[in-house]
Amino acid sequence: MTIKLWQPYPIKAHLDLVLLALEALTGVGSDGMLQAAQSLGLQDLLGDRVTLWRLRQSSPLRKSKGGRKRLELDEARALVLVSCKLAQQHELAIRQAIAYLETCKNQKQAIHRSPVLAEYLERFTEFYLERIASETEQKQNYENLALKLLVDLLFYSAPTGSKRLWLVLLEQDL
Amino acid sequence: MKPLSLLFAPHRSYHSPTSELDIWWQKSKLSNWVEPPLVKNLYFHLKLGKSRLEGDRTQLEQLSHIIYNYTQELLTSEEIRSFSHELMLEKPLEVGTLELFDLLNSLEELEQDLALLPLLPEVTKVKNDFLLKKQIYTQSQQVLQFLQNLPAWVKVGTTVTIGIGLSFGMMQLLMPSRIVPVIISQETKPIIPKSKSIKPLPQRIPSFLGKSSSAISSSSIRIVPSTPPPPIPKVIATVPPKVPEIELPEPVPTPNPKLFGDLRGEFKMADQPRAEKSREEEDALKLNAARQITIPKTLVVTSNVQLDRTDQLERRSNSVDLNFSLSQHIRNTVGKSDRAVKGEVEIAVNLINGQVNDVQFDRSSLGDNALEQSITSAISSWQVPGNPNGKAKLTIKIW
Repeated sequence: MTIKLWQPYPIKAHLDLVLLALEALTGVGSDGMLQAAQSLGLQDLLGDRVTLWRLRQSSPLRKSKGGRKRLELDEARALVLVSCKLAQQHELAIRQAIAYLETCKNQKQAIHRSPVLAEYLERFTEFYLERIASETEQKQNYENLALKLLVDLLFYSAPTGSKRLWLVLLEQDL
Repeated sequence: MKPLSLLFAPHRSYHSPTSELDIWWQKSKLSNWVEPPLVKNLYFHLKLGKSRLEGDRTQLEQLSHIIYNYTQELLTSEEIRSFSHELMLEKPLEVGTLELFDLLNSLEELEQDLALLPLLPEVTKVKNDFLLKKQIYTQSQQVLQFLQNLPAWVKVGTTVTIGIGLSFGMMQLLMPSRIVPVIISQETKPIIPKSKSIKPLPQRIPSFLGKSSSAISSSSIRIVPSTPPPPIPKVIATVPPKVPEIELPEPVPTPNPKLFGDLRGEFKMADQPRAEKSREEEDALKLNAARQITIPKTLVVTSNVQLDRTDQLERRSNSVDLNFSLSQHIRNTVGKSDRAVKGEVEIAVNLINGQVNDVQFDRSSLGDNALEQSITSAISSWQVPGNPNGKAKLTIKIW
């Protein structure tokens, strides 16, 4: 079954998933995200863990409630900039993962044969099950979603990544 | 730009782990006052994995357009079906994800580094070429007269020297003002676009394209295979100096070139039965004798959408996308027809609120009612991106 990424609240869900993929691949946590926000001068919008948590909880896909119902434009922009800043910082890791992915596909090998990809998929699935998947979704395969987000991260890791991500969000939202 | 430029180091190079893009350009005199450099002509050479591509600015613009749209579509898709990507160039080019990413970055970097001077309409260019050739002819006559008055021993040496120089100069002038792609080898295998559903293309055309002329011509990007071509290439095509497309879209009087665009593309039609095919090839050969082109069957779709003024401001109503979508749709639907018909049709399509309201044949030399009907129904079934109002002029050439 294909997991619909963007419906019905695309921007909030998408941003949370992009950060989730980054967490799974690079191990970056909320501290790293806050640091990135600070380096971008966004500490007013993303100043502490609670604010960050509440913004990410605004994703309608999230299981637990308590997040913000509404994501303001400035906040969405801040999350975009932080995501792309982190993707840029970890460009090498993302590139390497994609290179492994291409090698596996070219050699018709299972992607789990690559330790980097196997770890990424495992962590992504773990996070997804923990934070998003409902009880009925527990047995689904999240590999496609994880790989799609990995490819997206590659494109967001470019200097113009934030522009690309913003355009994608707008496109999805229309 | 002339191929002679290749003797010099490129003006700018964009090298990444999987791609190498080298650019030679001819700066405009206006560059003295503007930043970034304003460029009139350029020539590019791209090494992408095992493929080599080269061409002029029109072809680079075409390549950029394809790459930007493909990436946007990839990023907005719900899932990824494949990690290799087929770019629909003259011959489909398969690239990996990293290659696509690197190429996109190089093109974006290039876009920031220079600005392209808008191209003159083709008619003016032809006129200018004529004047230039006339001037060269007069000058060479004067040189010949001068030579006749020289002593015999000087004549011999000077004639040889000037002769070489002149012929080289004439060659340069008579050569096309841009590199016309030469297909080194061409497969007769039909090119069938991926069945992948194509969403309406996003209207956000990169400014790189916007800065240039609105016309993106059908001239194809030269793909130079890194591996040697097969021993006996089935079709060898040499494209002459003149671009095959003589008929040009009407120049659109618009202050903003981004809002208007024109896209052409070639699509080889599905395979014919063997016996019929050889006859087709012969016919095509005769038809294209002047151009020395030997392409069995080609469908050229030219689309020129002119939107109503209010729609030009609409986010989703972008002529470039509409042209692309319409011509792609026609190639995908009509291109699959196996009718052995040659000719040309001109169709006026009326768009009202994103619906095809009226399809009118202005001119047709197909002489095949069934094919004309299938073209009409193909246009009627076109999923118009957005809700535009306006008119589209469509030219379909089949040979």
